Amino acid sequence: MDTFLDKLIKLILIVFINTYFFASSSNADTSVLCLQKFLKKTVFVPGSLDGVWGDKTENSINSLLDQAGMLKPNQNISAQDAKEVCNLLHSSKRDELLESGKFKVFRIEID
Amino acid sequence: MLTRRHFLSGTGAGLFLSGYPVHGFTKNAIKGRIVVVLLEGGMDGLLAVPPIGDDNLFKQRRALVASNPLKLNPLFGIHPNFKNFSSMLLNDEASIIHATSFPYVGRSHFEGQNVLQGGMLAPFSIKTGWLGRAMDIAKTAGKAMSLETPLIIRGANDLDNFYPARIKHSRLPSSETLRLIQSTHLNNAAKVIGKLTKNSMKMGVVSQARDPLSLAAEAGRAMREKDGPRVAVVKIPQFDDHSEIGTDTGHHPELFTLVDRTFGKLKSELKEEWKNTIVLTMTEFGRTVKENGSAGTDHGYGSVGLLAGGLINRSSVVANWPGLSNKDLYEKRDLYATIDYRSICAACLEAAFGLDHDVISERVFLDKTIPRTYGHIFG
Repeated sequence: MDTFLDKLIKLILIVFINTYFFASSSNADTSVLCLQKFLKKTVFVPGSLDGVWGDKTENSINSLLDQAGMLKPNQNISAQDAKEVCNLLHSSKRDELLESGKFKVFRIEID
Repeated sequence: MLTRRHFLSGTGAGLFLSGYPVHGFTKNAIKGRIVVVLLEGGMDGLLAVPPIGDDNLFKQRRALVASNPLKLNPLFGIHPNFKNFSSMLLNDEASIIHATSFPYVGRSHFEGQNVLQGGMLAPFSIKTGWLGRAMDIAKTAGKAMSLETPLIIRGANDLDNFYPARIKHSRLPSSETLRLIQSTHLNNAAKVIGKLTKNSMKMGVVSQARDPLSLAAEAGRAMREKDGPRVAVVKIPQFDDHSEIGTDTGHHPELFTLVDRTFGKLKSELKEEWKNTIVLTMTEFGRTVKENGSAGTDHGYGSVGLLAGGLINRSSVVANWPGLSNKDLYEKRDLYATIDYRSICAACLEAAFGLDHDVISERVFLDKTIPRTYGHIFG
């Protein structure tokens, strides 16, 4: 028979799994995960591969596309563009983007 | 007593010119020029190009950050003594590679210099240098203007060398040599040699004969000629500052000024040929992130590379920044080198000699895995 401590541990585990695992899964987006997996092959690290659009994913994909010269002036990729960008990452531009993503280039901004 | 440091300082500045087109051998002389500036002793890359946007810089080495570095972008600044180089950055004709090194972690000057000149993974594993092998492939091997032939420009083809002995002051001893001799004598003998050293400095002999600026000017004048050398190697010694390295002023900052003026002199003397030139610095290793107990830094791993020349179209700092917190450091003490500097040398060869990257990686560095960085620097 379970002691009070056993019951408490089970309860904490159930709450933890529901909060972090199922909640993440329900928010996970296959297109976002596609971007994150691609970014992981470059130096533009996206954070954890959870399929959730966050600041790290947004900054990394914008930085990569900007460095590769594939962003228009003032263009910013956001969550709703994930599917379109995922298609781009698997197009003929794939090798070019992987090549560009091997090193980070910091532009000179002297006034 | 002759110490290692005295020995290194006594080796002095030097210039080696090579790749003079030879009638009957050189077919279609290449347009590009390469100047390698060897910074002997291990330059402190964090003092030269401080990552001012990384908070850990100030936690790790508060006393070794220049008080007014020129801010290049949110992450990087540059020591204010790099005035000419900063202008080149502004004009899109210079770039910086940070957290970089040849793949050598042994912290020995002699092994490190051999690795960076030989271009191999292990020291003393080959009798030719990466630049010499590239000249062989580009069919530019020719005469070298030097008494000795440094490893970096030795190739498989016979490299004829000559040294015009009647160059003004070429036979007079340098101040470094005199200081070296002085250090091995005591009492009156040391005083006499010290007096001779002072006199030689007064005569201006050293500045004309041995200093890197005169040598850079000589290199620039020779390389701008149609049948001039395609390759030059300028040696600047004495970076091994284990004590009193300096921040705003001091020994390392003075050397920065010297490197900076070397870049300036090469540009002004190369004139029209500057547009076909790439100049790159190389040092055997960086220095420790934290200062030691003598206000200096010791032998480390990652450092910085400075590139300039008309072959660059857009200035930038290329870096896969590893960070400076204790857990980010190599063996908890050195800046991690995240870019193999051989890949930078390969890009410079591609730009100046027009060689294919795969040819360079396979036949110059004998390593197919070297990544191509050409697009990040010259694209």
